Amino acid sequence: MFILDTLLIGSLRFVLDKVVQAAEAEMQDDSALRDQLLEAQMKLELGEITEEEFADIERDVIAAIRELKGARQGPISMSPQDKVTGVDIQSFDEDR
Amino acid sequence: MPRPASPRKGERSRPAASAPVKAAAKKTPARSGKTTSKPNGGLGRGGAKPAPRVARSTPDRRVSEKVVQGGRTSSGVEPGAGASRGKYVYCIIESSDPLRFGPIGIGADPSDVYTVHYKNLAAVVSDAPLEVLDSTRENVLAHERVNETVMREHTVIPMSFGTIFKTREDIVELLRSAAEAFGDVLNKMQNKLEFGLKVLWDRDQAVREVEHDDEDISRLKKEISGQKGPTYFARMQYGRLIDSALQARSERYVAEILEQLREVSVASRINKPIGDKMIMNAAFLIARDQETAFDGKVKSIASRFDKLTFKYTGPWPPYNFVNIRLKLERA
Repeated sequence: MFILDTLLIGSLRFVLDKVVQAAEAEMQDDSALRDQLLEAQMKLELGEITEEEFADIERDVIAAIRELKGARQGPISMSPQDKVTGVDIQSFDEDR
Repeated sequence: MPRPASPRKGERSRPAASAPVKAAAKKTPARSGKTTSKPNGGLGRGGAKPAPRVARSTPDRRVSEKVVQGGRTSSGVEPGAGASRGKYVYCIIESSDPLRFGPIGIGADPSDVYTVHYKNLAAVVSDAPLEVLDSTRENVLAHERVNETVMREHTVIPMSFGTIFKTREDIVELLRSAAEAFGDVLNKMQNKLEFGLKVLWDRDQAVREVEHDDEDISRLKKEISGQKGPTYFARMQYGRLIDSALQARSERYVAEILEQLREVSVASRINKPIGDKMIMNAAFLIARDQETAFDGKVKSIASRFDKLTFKYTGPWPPYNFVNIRLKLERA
């Protein structure tokens, strides 16, 4: 389950125009915690820790992430007055 | 191609050869997919020294970017409707017909996964509580399980984990306002699959090899072990030489592996290695008709580098090769 990281920050995501900077700074904030989670997942896969040990680590790290982020990241609403002001797309380049 | 659930919650590991790991030697045919490689005791537990990091930029992922102006206020939403239930979005696909994927949604009590449409675009969603979802393994796997199911028959633009909209109308508005961009990306991703390849080494063994192969290092090592009280300086120098030799060696391995896979992939991306045993953490975008060739290449590389451990996974939705950022403006 190594894709956690890209799943959280890659693909399609939303940013509020006015708080783009803040949102990206926040990603940095908890990146160390997310690294911890990734490493624990890898150890679990390699059999270096047990499911129970992983569950303990996961609980702690998730709690820490929650504390860091607070309830700032709520569900997304686009209506009725909100609007999409732009779409940035980055994808691979086929000619290399 | 349906894949049976694996013993460990739906992970997809493609077995690749791996010498120090006994269990990984059981080579399942690639197409049957899903063996989770067994835990192994073969990897050395390295000391406290950090392994060389091969964090480099992404040379072949030149970024093409464009900005589509969207937006206009949406049609109204009935206030109060579904105040506590939102819609969790997994991915976006092309489909004009309503689709149902069964009760495989995220959450303790898996809800039905279905589509919300705007013209020929569809968002794959399930009803979910309007609250922040923790990125636990279980939740992330549930998200991935849905995308895995959908991508068997559709090209998908995967959503980041944890995206919940308040109402169906919000989602329709999303599809409408970025329809052109979604259409372009879906076209580009047609018949392409992502695979992950992680390469790990046994650091202790690599140190022994380096000590054996590098004259300076082996001489220094003899000096240190020969002396009664080896100098601090000699030890420092030894440590530095080891580190840079390991770094050079892992970079050489990675470069060679990437070079071999270049011709059978459309694009690749190098991510930061996880932990101190990983020397490569890469994702590859593969054309469907190249899948067998890529598969064969990975296997032959794995048998050639028999001291490295390869973790080969996929197919995934193109998480690493699509990055769409929608800017919302709050009124």
